[in-house]
Amino acid sequence: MVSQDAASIDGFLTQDALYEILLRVPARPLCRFRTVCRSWRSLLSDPQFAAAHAAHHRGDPPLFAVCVAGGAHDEVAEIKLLDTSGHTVKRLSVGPTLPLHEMLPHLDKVLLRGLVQLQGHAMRVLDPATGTVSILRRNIPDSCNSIVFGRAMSSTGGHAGEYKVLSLDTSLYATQPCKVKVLTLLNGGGGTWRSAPMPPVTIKTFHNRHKEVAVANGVVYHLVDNTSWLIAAFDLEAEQWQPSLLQGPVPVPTIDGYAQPLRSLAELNGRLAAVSSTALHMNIWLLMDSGKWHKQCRVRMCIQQHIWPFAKDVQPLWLLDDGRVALWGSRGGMRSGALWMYDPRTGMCTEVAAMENCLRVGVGVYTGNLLQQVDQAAHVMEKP
Amino acid sequence: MASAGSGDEKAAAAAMITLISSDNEKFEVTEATATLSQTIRHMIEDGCTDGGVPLPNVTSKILARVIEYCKKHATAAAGEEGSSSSFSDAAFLEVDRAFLEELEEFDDAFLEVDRATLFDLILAANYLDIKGLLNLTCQKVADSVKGKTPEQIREMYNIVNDLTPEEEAEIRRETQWAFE
Repeated sequence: MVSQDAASIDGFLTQDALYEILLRVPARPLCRFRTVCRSWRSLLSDPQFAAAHAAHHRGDPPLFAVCVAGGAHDEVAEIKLLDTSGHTVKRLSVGPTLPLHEMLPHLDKVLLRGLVQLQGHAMRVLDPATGTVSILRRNIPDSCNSIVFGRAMSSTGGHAGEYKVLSLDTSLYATQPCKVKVLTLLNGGGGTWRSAPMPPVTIKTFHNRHKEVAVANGVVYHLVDNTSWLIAAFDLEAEQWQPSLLQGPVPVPTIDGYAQPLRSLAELNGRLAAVSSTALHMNIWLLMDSGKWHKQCRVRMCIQQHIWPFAKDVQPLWLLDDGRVALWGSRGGMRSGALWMYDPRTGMCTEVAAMENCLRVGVGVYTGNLLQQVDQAAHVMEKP
Repeated sequence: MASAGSGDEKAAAAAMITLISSDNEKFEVTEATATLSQTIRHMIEDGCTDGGVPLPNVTSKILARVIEYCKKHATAAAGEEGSSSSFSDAAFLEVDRAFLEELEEFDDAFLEVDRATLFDLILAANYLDIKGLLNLTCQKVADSVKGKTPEQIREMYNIVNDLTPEEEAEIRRETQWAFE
């Protein structure tokens, strides 16, 4: 139904008004609208418009980056960006490459770590907005047991700093402080590994799918062991450990009786979260600016539905403004995974998206700008 | 529920401003209503509103709708100030919530206009710098286009595609994911 008054939107509306309207359209349709005409293409490809669009949508519910290893030999990284309704906003795949060991999404990048080292191809960094993959061209140190990927936060303005990769040689049976190495992500590749100070105490990790580590606001938080709730903190900008350990929140007594609550860390809404889970409940605290823990919510596991996985396989992702909690859970022997929304008002979980082939999976909140385009002037790159 | 804002009306009844539309119709509004427009607020601050404020870009039909919006939302703003300064007991919160719901209903009804009027309201909101109205009207248009294909957008708004087929194919290749 085309109305009588349908003169050109450009003729009808001023450029200002068109700008105001398009600012409120989500990124995915805007990328399509670049093909409407020349003037729309130039507006929608303008980095300044992209920045204004990101600023306008800052308060929106986030996208979740779900990365799984696919192909016959885990040699393809399949990445889906899901919204809170479980709709796929963008999907892309990287590879085939060497078999993947793990995928670590952080903010607007994903670190892809290969299973083996070959000619410095062990680590790649994907930018899901542009699809650009940078090869780090550095081997992972022999001493490495665990890799952490995070972005530094400058101490002065609080603005985003460089992405860094941390190599730790922690182990469950460690008797001495672990060796720490840091590598800075440069344009299109990696710098060299530098030695960083040892942590203030011996870290005894338990390699529980990275749930003992979380990166929030430029700080890597690491559980010190699996019996207490002590946390060591490494500042990615200063490349220094904080001298004193952080004490986690005191867990509330559980009604289970038989099971010791599992303690883990997560990044939630840009803050460090301490998570205590039993078979029936998950309690979540956030570390506030005051340095105090604030109890956020209690998620009741819906085991009666026979679809809820074990608590230890559940990762909280985001606390929505309306009180709901977004969670990622593996199910069915961990071959498949799903994005869940827990509503504390009803105590019910809703599965909003499911993915198969989740034996190797990395899930995080994606904070990038999908209007961003490949910078032609950039560095060594490899098209996926 | 209808008496929600009555206690605060005396505060808003102070000064009156005359707005003059492009077709020379005069509208008398309170300062609280008029200053929802940043443009008019600055004019008042500069003391250049004596003898009325001419608005050569806004017709009387559109200005009447804009004033209707501003009146409703100025009362809402006054109501919010009133309740936050007084003690917040359950009854007040109840009134607040009812009022917000009423405001939402008002906004929904306000947007029930044809596309030409909606565009004129956007232009007026932009010119008069009324943030709430600009957001409301632009969001309405944004919601109506976000599910459309580029072809549908061109058809809806009579836009001529001046891209060459090669250019269009190139953009599609770069952003294939957005078309899937």
